[in-house]
Amino acid sequence: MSSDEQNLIPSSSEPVADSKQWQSEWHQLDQMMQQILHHAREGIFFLDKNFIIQKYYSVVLHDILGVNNLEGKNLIHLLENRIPTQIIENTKEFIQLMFRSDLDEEVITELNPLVDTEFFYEDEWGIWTSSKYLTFTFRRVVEENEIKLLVITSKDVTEKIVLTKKIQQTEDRTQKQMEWLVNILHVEPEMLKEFFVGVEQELANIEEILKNAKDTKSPRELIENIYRSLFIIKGNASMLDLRFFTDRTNQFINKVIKLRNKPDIIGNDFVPIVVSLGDMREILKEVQTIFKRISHFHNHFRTKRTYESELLVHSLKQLIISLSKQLGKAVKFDYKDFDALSIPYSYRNIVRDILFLLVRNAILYGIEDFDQRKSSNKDPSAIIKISSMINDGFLGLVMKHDGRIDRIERMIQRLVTYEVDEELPEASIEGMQVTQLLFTPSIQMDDERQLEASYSMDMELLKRKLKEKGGRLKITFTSEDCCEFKILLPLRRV
Amino acid sequence: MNETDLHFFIDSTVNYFQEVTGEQAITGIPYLKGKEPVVLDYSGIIGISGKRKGCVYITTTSEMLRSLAHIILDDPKATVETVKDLTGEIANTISGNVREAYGSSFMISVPVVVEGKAKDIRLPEHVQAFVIPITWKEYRCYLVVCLE
Repeated sequence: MSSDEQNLIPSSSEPVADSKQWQSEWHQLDQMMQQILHHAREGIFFLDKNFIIQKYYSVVLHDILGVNNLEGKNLIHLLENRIPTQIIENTKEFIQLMFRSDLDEEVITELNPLVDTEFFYEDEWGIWTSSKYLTFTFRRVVEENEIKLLVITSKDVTEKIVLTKKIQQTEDRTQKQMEWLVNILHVEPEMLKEFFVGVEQELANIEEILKNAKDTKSPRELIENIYRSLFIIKGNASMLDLRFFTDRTNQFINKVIKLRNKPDIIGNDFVPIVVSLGDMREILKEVQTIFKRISHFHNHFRTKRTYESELLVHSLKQLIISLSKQLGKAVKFDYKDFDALSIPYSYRNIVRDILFLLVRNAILYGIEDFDQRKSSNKDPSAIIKISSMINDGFLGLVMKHDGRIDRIERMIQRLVTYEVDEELPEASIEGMQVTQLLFTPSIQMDDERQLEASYSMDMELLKRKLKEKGGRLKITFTSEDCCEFKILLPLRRV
Repeated sequence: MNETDLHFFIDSTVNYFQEVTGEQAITGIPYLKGKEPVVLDYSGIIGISGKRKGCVYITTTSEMLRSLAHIILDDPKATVETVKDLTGEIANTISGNVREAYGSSFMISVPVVVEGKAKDIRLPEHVQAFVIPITWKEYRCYLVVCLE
């Protein structure tokens, strides 16, 4: 520090005035100092070794620290309740080191803990509701080889830090959002909207279940209802091939299964459920935001009807290829009797949903893998055939596969074959058997049972969708080795 | 907000009743806080800042607090002031536990006690809040946790 610079700095001890000229110069200097400190945009102040703020400080410091009349105040006390105690302790230690002349200033400065530090400000209730980021710099004021004071500057760097954080957050989220974007791009906006509404409904349903649980004596019933809602979300997500949603829902379902397997259930056990529910809500919100952003482009590139029809068959083809490859199965797809153009526009979504579900379930649960089929003297490549027809005021859809026909499939056949206005046979002995078979916790621990439960949930979803449209479903076995699903949708309701 | 955090807040609160009264409190089924207020007669609020920001509050009925005062202070006719102090004490206990567990990189505020059924307690926006019903004896109170 030069001697000129030192002259500008007020000493902590007042010099003795020995002449009028000196007094006048001192007064001028004091005025100049006040002007500088009044107009400086940075917080500038002097601190003694007892952490006391000195007389000369810039006015903007009032705003930066949120405190007026700083002269004589202890800096450490001002930091209390604004930054974490750990940083306060470090600051105290750092200032003490700054006053030690045996330590190198440049080296010590590296330890400055008040860099880009978030300061919190209380509201009228004493709760921190606002914050800003401040950076302080410290320099020694040396007089006659003695460190008299520290000159400290402070700057509000909130804008810079917030922007940097935002960029960082955006970068972190971009990867995830890109994945989601790719995942939803293949789905038509209308279907996606419908999916969102469905998820919203089921999540709201779970929320209501939890909120109204109060002192329930039967938490298992709640768990089953939550499980059911999640299966509907999972079913819908799989139908649209929204893998990230399917995966997330699966994770949630696993937590529900874990809870269900507990012998005694208490309120605390529901913590993982409510946390997962919160996560699902967040995901839904984010995906909906992405959807809103891209819907403009979706509409812009809206496809023609013929292309949409081709797309349906193409999507089914893709589903068969990817799923059979994943499961080590070989499947041929026969769609020569399927006329996508004959499907009325209003049934387009439900037909797609139904076919996706049936085809997916046929591959998952019905069709054996390549080696199994070979050893049973069957053609190693299974066949899935879809066809459509219009007859007697009904749109008919048929899905056939030559996979294994299980006991469970036969039971579900009886359960789901019903007329539109008929009561569902849940109350029947058979219905009860199926329900017991699928939902008795003690027998649901192995994978096979869970697959069956999953199948049953999917079928229930299908039933619900069909019922909404006044349609019906029949499962018939044309031979020991062939299963046929026939769906009828009334054209008059279109 | 993860499961461990939520369990931590619940355990801190439930343990308070057990330790102070010798009678166990029972945790109800937690749920997500919606738009509707969760406020009873007295609420003790703690602000959390630092690495993670948020707010935790416990809201109770005056009947519960009077019953607590009877047991803890042997005061069958607790005044409003006593009841308020008790609210602060419960919140303070939670706050102390939080401070111990989260370390000095977090800032835990001195509890603020709000009397009367306020419209709602203002919570940080865009952060999910969890409501945990707690039953002690025949009384019901709610712990609300809203943490980034």
